[in-house]
Amino acid sequence: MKRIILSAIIAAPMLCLAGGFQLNVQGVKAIAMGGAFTGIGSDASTVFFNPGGMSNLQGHNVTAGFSFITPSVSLQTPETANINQTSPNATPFHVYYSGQLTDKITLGFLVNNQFGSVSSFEDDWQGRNIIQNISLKSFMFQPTIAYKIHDKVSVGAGFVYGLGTFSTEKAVPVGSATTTEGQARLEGSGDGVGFNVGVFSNIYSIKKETSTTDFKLGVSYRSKIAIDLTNGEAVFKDIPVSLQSKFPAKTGFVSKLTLPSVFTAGFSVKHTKNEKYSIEFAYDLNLTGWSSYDTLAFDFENSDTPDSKTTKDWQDVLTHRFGVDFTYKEKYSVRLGAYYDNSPIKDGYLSPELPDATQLAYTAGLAYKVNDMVSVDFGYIRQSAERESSLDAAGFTAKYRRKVNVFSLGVNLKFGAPKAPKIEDAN
Amino acid sequence: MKSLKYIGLGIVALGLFSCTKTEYEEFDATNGGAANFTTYIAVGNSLTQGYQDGGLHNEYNQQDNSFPAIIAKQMGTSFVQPTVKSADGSGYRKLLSLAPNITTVAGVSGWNNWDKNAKYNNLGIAGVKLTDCVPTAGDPFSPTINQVVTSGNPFGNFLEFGVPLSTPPVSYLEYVKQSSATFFTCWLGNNDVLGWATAGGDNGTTTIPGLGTLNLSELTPVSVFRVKYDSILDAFQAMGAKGVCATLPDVTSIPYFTTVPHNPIPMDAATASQTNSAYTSYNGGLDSYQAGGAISAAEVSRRKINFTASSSNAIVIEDESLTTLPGLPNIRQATAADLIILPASSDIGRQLDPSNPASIYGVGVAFADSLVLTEAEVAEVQSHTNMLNNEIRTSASNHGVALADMYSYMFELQAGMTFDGVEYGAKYIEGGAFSLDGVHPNTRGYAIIANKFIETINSYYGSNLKPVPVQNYRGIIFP
Repeated sequence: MKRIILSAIIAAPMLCLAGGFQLNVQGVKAIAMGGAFTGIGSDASTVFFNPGGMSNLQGHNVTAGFSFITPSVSLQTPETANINQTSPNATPFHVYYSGQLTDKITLGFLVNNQFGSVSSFEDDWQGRNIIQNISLKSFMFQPTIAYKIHDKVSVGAGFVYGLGTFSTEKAVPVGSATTTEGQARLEGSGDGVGFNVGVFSNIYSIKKETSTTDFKLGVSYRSKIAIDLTNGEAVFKDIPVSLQSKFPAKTGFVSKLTLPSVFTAGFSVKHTKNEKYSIEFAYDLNLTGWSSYDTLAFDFENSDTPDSKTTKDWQDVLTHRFGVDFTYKEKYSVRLGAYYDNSPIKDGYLSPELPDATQLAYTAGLAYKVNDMVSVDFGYIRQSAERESSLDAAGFTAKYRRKVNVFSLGVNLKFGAPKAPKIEDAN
Repeated sequence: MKSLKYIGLGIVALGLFSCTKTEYEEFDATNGGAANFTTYIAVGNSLTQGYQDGGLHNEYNQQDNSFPAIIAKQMGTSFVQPTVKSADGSGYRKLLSLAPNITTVAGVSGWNNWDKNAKYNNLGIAGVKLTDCVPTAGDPFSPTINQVVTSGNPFGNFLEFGVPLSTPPVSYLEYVKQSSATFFTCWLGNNDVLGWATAGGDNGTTTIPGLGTLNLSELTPVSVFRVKYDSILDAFQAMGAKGVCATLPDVTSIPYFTTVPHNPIPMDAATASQTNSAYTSYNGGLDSYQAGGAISAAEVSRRKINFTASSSNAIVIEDESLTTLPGLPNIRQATAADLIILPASSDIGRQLDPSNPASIYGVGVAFADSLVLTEAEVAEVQSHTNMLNNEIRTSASNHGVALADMYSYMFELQAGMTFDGVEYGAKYIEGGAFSLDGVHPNTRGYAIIANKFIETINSYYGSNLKPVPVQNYRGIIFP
């Protein structure tokens, strides 16, 4: 466990990969299938996507993976062409465990990065008084339990402990004879708690002599998590002497960051033709409660330092996710997907650190089952979006172009389960 | 082992995609639209010359970044300015602490030793009035008067107006006619109202031997303004130049008139009663004149002086518009409608005679008329500004040139503007856009003004000049 936390810290930073600063790289199979997994529940990542789905998994299951995200963002203002945002490559990761305790009860645990955002610009870029650098990282830890109510219906619930760190830098527009501008750096970390619940149903199966068609449904809800940044530290530098009481070398601050709730309803249909092939279609609908992110405020300890309050006024958004999996001989899989993601950021509130846009993104993936114990997944996401909008409160307008490629690799381990029955043996 | 294949595949794919760039195309080359920016000439006064902090100086490229110089850079055209020869230039004001404690840096002698043969694009002259730029038709003395006034102005020394006086005088208008401009900005006229206003509503009367009496800061009559403004635009029209004219800001939108409060005098009960007793005979005298029918009850109540135990007593001011009453001074306490000029801030509460505690300025001794723009004078200067602006609008429209409405824009600035995350306003020092003299913008303020001109030029002529990022220019230099 210690190593996992350590690697988690090395794994950061990361960046937004869905509306707002939500990451959607929590399972490599899901990545390849447009992020639709709430109604699939076929590997341990269901601890995250739908805890109710854990009851489907026999024995002990581990799913672990990471993503390599390479974003590239550039913008153009009325004054300046070609401002490049420096978005570092990010490698968020996930580890899931699900283990059957009894026929009815399954226990699970997860560690992953669900929210994050990193971006930076040249220190002297035009919008430096809005943002120079920002980094937001979060780590979630979730012990989980699932209970099989009935052969067709199971429920699950998890307690979520979230850790967040935040840092940002921007220029302070005051100059002296020796300096042209000051700089503020704010850093803080904090934690918060929430929960994750889900219901999973193998609602219907059509069994024929040589084929089976399974219909599955899932509903899950992840609560919002308020991360209290109680120990923030602000550092001001290059401030003219006469203004140093206002912007002291160091002062504390408090802030709060609300990570939004996500409600998901999804289903899947899987048609299996004996040992030959299977084809699976999945759809998820997410409702992300971004309206909880209404303001971002920093209250400084030093009473002369002007407190900062930014109205975000984000809106709740829907995301549609589609995915298809084709598996040949239970060994080789090819996956395709897409998702249509609405931006929570209204026109007039689009800030250069997070140039989010409503967009259609495409996904793809491959999987290979080495043996009954080990399988590997590869996933890919391609995002490409453009948007022209303003941040009215800052008097800033820009045209943004953003492209992101994500490459993900995951491994699934399965042990302690009875050997997978042959299709014809099933019943 | 086979899984390695997929990792390998991933790495290959990664290599392919990581080269992706998302750069935008560069902006189009500057396109003048219906305008031609080959030779840009700026006419105007201190605002055009790049004056700020009470002087023309270049310590941090202040003059280099005059608003027309910023515009010219965006036009991509060469622009020659009569730049001061040293950082200190004519001298300027400098912030020593946030108290605010401001000192004046001495000017350098010879700062205005410009090459009079150079062909300048920036013809702005600090302090010049439109009425001094153009000889008055039918007035044989006018060219000489103009010559004397403009020649006597060191900020105009880069042009030869005809010195010694025996040579035929050359008017500012002549220089406009010789400028061969293809494009111009004209922001003349501010001093035709502002000079009177900054003098506290005073004509600045002076006598020049042989020429008679001149009113250096009087409000230029509208009819005179109209003819002279037209003749400037006629001159540009004659050479086929397109351009943009700017309206004059209202004095109440600049910190010079809005910074010093009318009621800054703190007093305890004992001092108030002592001060009031000193005004007993003045207040009683007003009552007697009212009883005799010389003044109205309304004037009496306006003039009676009364201090209270409070932190916000109004200062006592002279007001020439009050009825003259033998034996009584024309004084009253200021109201919020009276504007105290910025340089008077250090006079408030000053004991004029160190040995006489009753000589505190604004309490025992009335503020001089020249330090206060009284309510009536404010109304007069506002109405005059509106009339002159109407002339500017009409003239610009008649000559088919664009109009930058700086009158409205300065009120917008007063209400607050935000550029790239930085807020600006018209408040002294804190507002961030005005320089330490409270009248002229600082370099960021000039960038804001340049952007307004650029916006106006683009929308009128269909050109595509880029605005500038305001924060890339220097703001107030804090100690």
